[in-house]
Amino acid sequence: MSRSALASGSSIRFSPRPFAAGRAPAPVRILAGLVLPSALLLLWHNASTRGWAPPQILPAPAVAWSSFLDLLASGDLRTHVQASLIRVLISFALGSAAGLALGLAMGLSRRLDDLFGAVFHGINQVPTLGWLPVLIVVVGINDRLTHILIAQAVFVSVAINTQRGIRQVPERLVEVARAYRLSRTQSLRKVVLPAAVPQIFTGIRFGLANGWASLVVVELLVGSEGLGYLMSWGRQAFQLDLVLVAIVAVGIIGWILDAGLARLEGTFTAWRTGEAAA
Amino acid sequence: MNTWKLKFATLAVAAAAAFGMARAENPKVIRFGYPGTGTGGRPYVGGSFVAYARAAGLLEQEFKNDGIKVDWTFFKLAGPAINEAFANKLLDVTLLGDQAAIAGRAGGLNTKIVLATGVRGVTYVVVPPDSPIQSIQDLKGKRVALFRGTAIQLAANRILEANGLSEKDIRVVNMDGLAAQAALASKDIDALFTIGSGALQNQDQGIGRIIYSGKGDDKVIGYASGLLVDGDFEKANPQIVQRIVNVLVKAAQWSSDDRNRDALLQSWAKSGTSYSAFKRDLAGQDVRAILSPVIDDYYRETWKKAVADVKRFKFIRKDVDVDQWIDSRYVDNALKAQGLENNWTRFGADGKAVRVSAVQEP
Repeated sequence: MSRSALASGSSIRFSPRPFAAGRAPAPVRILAGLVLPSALLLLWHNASTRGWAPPQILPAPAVAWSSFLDLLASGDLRTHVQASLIRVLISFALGSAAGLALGLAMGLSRRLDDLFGAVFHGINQVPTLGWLPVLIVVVGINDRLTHILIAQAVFVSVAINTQRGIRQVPERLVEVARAYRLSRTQSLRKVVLPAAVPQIFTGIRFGLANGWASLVVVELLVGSEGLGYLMSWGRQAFQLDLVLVAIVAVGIIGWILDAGLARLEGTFTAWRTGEAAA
Repeated sequence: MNTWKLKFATLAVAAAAAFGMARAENPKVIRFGYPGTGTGGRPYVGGSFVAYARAAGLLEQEFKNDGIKVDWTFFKLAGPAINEAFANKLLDVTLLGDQAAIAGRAGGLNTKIVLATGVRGVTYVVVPPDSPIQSIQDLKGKRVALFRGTAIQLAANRILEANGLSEKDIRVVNMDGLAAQAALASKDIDALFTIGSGALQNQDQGIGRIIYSGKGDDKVIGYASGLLVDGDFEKANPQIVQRIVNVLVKAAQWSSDDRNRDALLQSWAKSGTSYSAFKRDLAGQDVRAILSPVIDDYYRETWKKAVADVKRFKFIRKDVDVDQWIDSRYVDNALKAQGLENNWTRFGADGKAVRVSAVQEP
């Protein structure tokens, strides 16, 4: 008996790409994806050349571009990107590991869910940065503050979505597992976890996005390296072109991180799409 | 030409003249900036003759009869915020320290320095009273507050450099002056760089011990500040700028007079920093020299050195031409008109007296 036999036994309602059919060919999609960025660039260009904003406050795209090349050549950009990435990856590893563990425990045990669930959903309602003032008082302004804050953002999101993913495994799937007389470990590995993967990944991706965004804010306060620092320094030094370079870098790196996770999710759930195509 | 056309043309010329006059009319308000606030954000400051002019309402008096208001803004976020206000055309005149002013100029702000408001500025390093830190070298690896983008950052970098260190050797926490004092009290930081009397106030409050003072440190040049005027404002209102400078030169003369020292310190104490802290900040300094409004060769040289250092520390990326920027015409006019040309000693680029003040020190 194979995993796919089990999976095809049920109608899967949460295929990762429900509307995947009818996608345009790649060149068209790439062109379509460039429409909005080009429009924004044009708006930015006009805003600075026509004096809608003072050139010191909104430097022209060309100015930001030359600053980008400067930062690239001097190696400064690499230093800042590296600092931010290391911070976020350490926190992400800690937060997602802990989040998976607690999420699994809460998903599998009603009792643990009763114990932690309410507090957890309460915590989830507080925006990550809402913890900042409290954490500053407790741990001080240092790198630990960054790690704790980002790990917390990832942790809560992963834990809640893992728990939810496991709870939402369709009853039919569990029944099939029971009918095949799978052991508890077997059904967990072969039925429950695979079915919960999309939801777990939602948690991980959301956590990383949230963590990345918060990182930048924390770096505004902490340290002398990182993209957030580059932004705050750009403002202090009255070089708003640096701020703009940092904003674009944050956007692009955040997008790459998310795309990476989406790819990873794709490999984890390849069996599903394979089924859908069959 | 028929008469109607003539009448019409005359009318048009008259209208244009009236419009031109309206354009040359005085502004309704002079927007005056100042870096920093008093304790708890109060709108009074200390340490300069401009602070005295503010406390005594001298500019308000000068412009009252013209119906011109003087609108003061004290910028908690100091120089960096003042540059943004200039860029957004929200400010006409301001006092500003060297680094932020240079950053603004390098960023393309159209400003002019029309008056000296301070030179040979003293920087302090303060640590908690029970701290083991004794010297600048001991700051290595420690959490040190300094206010990035302001004169404090330039001063700190010069002091660190003179002691064989750089910003990279310490853990910088970027904070404004008042926030840094609070962080020192709660020991969230190991040390702070600060300028002016706040350091002595911290000592009085028992939250700080001064381990370094710029007084008498010949290896490190003191910071400068100046009165900056928006270029467009100056072009449109040269008489107003002259009158502002006149009033401030008068305030400088009063402030430098030793007989008024007590009253001067009392006016500064409105800021919330104590009279005694200001008194000890000034102790051992050439008070007449630091309260001089005169733009002499030493003043120009101080700014040139500041530009070179700000560039070397990579706080700016474009150059700034100091000679194009400093305009001493207004202050020279004021000194002449008030017969104060010999009231202050003039210093050469090397810092040595060129023409000694006619006023006898007590």
